[in-house]
Amino acid sequence: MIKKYKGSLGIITLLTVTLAIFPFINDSFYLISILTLANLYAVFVVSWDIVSGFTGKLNLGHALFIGIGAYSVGILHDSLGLILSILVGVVLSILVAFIIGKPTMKLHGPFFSLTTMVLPLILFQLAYTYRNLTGGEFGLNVSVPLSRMELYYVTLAYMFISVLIIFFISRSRTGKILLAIKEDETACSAIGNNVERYKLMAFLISAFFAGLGGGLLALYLRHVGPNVFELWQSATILIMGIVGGMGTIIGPFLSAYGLTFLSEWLRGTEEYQDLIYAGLLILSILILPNGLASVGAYVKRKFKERGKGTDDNVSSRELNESLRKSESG
Amino acid sequence: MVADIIVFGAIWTAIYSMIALGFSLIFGVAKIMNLSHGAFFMFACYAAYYLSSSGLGLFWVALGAIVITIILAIVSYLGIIKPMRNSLTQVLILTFAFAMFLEQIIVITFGPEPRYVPSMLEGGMSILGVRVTHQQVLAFVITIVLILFLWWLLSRTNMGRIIRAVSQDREMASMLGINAEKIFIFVMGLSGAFAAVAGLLVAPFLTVTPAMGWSPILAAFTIVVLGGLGNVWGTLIGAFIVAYAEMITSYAFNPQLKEAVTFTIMILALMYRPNGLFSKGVSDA
Repeated sequence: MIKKYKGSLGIITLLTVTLAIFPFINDSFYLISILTLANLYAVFVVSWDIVSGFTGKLNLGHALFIGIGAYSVGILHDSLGLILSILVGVVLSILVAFIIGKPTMKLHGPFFSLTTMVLPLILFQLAYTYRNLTGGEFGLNVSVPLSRMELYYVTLAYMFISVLIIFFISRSRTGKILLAIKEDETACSAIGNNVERYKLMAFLISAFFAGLGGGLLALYLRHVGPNVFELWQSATILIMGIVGGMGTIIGPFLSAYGLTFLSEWLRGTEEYQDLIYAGLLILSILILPNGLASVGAYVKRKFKERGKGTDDNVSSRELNESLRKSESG
Repeated sequence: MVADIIVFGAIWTAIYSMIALGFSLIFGVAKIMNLSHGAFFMFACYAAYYLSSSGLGLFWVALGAIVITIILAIVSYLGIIKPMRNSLTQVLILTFAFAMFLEQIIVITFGPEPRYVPSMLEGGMSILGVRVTHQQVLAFVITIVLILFLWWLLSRTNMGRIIRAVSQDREMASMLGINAEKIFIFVMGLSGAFAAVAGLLVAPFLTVTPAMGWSPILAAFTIVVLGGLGNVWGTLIGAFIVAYAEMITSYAFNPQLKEAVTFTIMILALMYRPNGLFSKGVSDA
């Protein structure tokens, strides 16, 4: 356990240091731009993971907080200034998370997921309709005083800090309680934990980091349009999180970088990009429901099985067992 | 305006109940929350578009689109849902991903621009002073007939009794010699057929786009939450509420906010009445 802990921390630090040095080796505008986006996606996916991966409440609309953060910057940066408008976005997304989370976090099964799924769609339509405020389908332009390189370092620093904070939360007592909620909510509350409070707290933490990240996303794009609320925005985060391995922090973190580069690489075949993403998600759930982070364990188990000469069904039976467990959350 | 709301509200109540019934049926029987149900609806519209543009007659277009959608529903059940059926969450993600997958396949094959499907019936008539096309009347009538058919199937036939038995207690039904797997496949096909018929009937008066499946599926989910899962009459009442709320919004306020209203109803229902309007208060089921 401790070894694993250090390993993940090492990977996060190593990657951050590499990314910090990277511009000195190669300052191609294009690569820096992709890496800035990847930094932000890493924050989004990791903050998604603390709710969906840890408490087992699948959030299908993480774009909500990103969009709120981004639109706050878009609407308010002229009147309030950049930093204040980002803060307003953070406060708003926490507020929304509280209002939504309080009643729906206690629902079982798919209800929470569907609530989160439709919320960004409501805001999408509002953003389309109230064009005086939001600029309608053309959105709003954001003037940014930072250079590309400065923005890169800002996002990198933000990524490092937020991933570390979430990582430490996930390995603390709180993180263990969150995992316990996923395994068995009733048992967890029977031990005397205030389950509702922990779930809500995870959701608020998630909203905080995503909201701030959304503000930075607006700076990166230099533009905010209704498409920040689109289903694909949430779906991308979902795909990154699940392919990386929910509930591991390090898996989603790495897959955010991997998949951002994959999608740049696929840009040549733009029309197939979303198809490949959706297919990747289906395959990853069917073959590796615990994500790429579990590949090592999976291969090891396969080898062991072959050595013992037991049948192949064992792994699938184990899988079903673990799924059923996660279901009760 | 009031007459418009009444007439179109009735038509959309019928169409929404049909989509929601298919969705609710497979959830009630097999506990599968099928988010690709809306994609089946969209797929049927495109099948109708493709078949009618290749010059087939009306009957063959309808039959072809329904059969293709049923096959798609059954294949998706056997291929992706069945291996993960025990976990609601995994099924939710899988069907969500599958819906996106289908949407992208359609985008690649037909392009993202809207398509138009020719009407089955030309012309129109006037009801309460509101001009309604014959196609819309046809959609209303066929939907009512199919809902009655479903009610008959579930409550008056042996097949219906088996389906209800499986939905109440799968293990017990299996012990009595019922092959639950076959029932699931049958219900999945039936649910696909309902989505397909709804698609066929409304395609002529909607613009057919690859993303058209999302708003019906979310409306269907709202309806099912309002009416209570697996409750046929509740579903009809839910469809009535959603359809009229949408029509009032689009005629009295702004047509663009139609779906925002539906989604708001959904969220309110989930927050305060997660077990349906007719349940006794909030309980964490």
